[in-house]
Amino acid sequence: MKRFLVATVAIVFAIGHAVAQEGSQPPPGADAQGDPFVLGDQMLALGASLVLPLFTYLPTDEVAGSRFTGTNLTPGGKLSLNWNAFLGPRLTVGAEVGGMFAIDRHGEPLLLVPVTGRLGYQFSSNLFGLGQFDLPVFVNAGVGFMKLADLFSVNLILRPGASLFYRYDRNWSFGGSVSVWLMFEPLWGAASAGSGPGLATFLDISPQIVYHF
Amino acid sequence: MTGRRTLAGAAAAALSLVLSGCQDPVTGIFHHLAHQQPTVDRNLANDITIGGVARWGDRYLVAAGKLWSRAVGTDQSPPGEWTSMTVTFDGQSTSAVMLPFVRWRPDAGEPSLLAGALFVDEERFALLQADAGLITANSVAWATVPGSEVNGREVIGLFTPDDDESVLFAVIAKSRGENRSYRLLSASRRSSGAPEFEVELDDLSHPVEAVATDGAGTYWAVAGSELYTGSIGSLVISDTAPSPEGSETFRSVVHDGTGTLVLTGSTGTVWRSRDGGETWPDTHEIRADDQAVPLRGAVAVSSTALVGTDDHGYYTASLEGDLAVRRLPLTTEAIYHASILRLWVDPRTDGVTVFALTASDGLWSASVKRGEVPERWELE
Repeated sequence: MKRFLVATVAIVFAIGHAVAQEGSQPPPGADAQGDPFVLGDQMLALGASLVLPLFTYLPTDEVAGSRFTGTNLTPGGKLSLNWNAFLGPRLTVGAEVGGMFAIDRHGEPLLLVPVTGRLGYQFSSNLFGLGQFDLPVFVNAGVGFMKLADLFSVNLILRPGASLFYRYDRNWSFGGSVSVWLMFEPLWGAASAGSGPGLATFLDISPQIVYHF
Repeated sequence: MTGRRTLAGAAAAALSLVLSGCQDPVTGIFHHLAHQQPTVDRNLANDITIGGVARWGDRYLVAAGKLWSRAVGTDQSPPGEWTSMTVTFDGQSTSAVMLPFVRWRPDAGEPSLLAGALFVDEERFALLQADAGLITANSVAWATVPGSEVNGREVIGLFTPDDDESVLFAVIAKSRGENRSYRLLSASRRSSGAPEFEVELDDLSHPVEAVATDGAGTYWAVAGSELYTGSIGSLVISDTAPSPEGSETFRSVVHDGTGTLVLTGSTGTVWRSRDGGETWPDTHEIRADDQAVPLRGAVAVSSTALVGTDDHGYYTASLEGDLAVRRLPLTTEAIYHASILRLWVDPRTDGVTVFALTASDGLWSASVKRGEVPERWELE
């Protein structure tokens, strides 16, 4: 088992290194087309987010006569790491993991670990002669492991968003993302008295640093 | 091969997690949060330790070192603000710390208040009594209860377990220091205006933690690893009581009035008897994060026992059917992590008003209709 792990890590490292070597060479005509990325280029982004609760939708229940109601959560925070690989000059696939928290109105922390896959489409341009800017639009989809006091559940996540990065040099970009979290929590079993499913939404504003390789 | 085993193990663990999750009713977190209400927080300090609560007319009185009172509140008028009461001790305005505290009404006569007190300046303990004529909405004139049984003794606890609060139990420390011993006194009438105490239990190595009654003259008391039962004047060790294992001691005893008894233990055990204590077939060990949860006082509300804990709020245990013990996941945060020393039910409300007396987490209350179990708590 240990040999298998070591071999796997070594292979991944070697491939990543080789791809990074190749990807670090600007593709011919890249500047003219505004597509500086090629198949095999990869990015690793680290972000720290401000997470603003928007609203909750209750498909089977109402609060004060409405299915739309407040989340009763404070603004929260999130740390995330996402990886993306280019399938072509603009299309990316990747994955993201993170940790997120917000506080309920009684002081109890809601903890969430989202694990999502990511599909992106990236525009790049030299804006106003200031340098290269990348504008990815993306959608994440996956699951979130959520805990509040003794309650635990798994929810389904859909998260569309857009980013804007300034390409500082060959390896580094700086910028940020804005995205909307749509988190649907079905009930994985018989509902306890008075309970039901819910869809909570959040606005995620995230400064990010990106490493290209 | 090893990798396959690992994958198979992980899959089995995930499957068992999903299946086990399907067995219990599921509470939606977002749904719960959407219905969450703000905590009502009255003006009593939120970090105090509560020694006792009593109902006096249309006011609640609380002993938490000092004495506080507020109007009970009705459907027409909300509960009032807590106000500090002016107290005197034998006519003097000295300062004393009061914790154990009850209302006592022997022989359906005039009620009085009793409190265990420490006069800090004099390093003196006393049992105090205030008769009805010396109690107003904002003042109490205490008098020291005379008698060698209580004079100068530390009062560990006071109980009036009957609904009519007619029988008084006082737990007294006989001696101080390393080899402490305790005594349980009872009084069901007055003599010369003071409780006429009888010694129920003597030379106990542990203090009596709780007293319960069936309302028909039989009482149960727990001290250390012993359960005592009998009528007034004849409490004896129960020979049918369960035996706590290891260092566990009993912390509370509850009778629901229909023959069901619940005992709680210091390392998380709940015992239940449904035949008045003859047999104890139902047990449950409460654990959280792989640790035994120390249990504290308990009270019967409808067909449920609420069981206080150290640092884990309270659990509920069913008095009917299966002994279903669970921690309410939806209680508010502060009581969810509180150390609840005792729970007290106001015997004179149309519905059910329960108070949770905590150690350094203030006083909580919940009011529900009869037949319902409290879930939403207000911070006094």
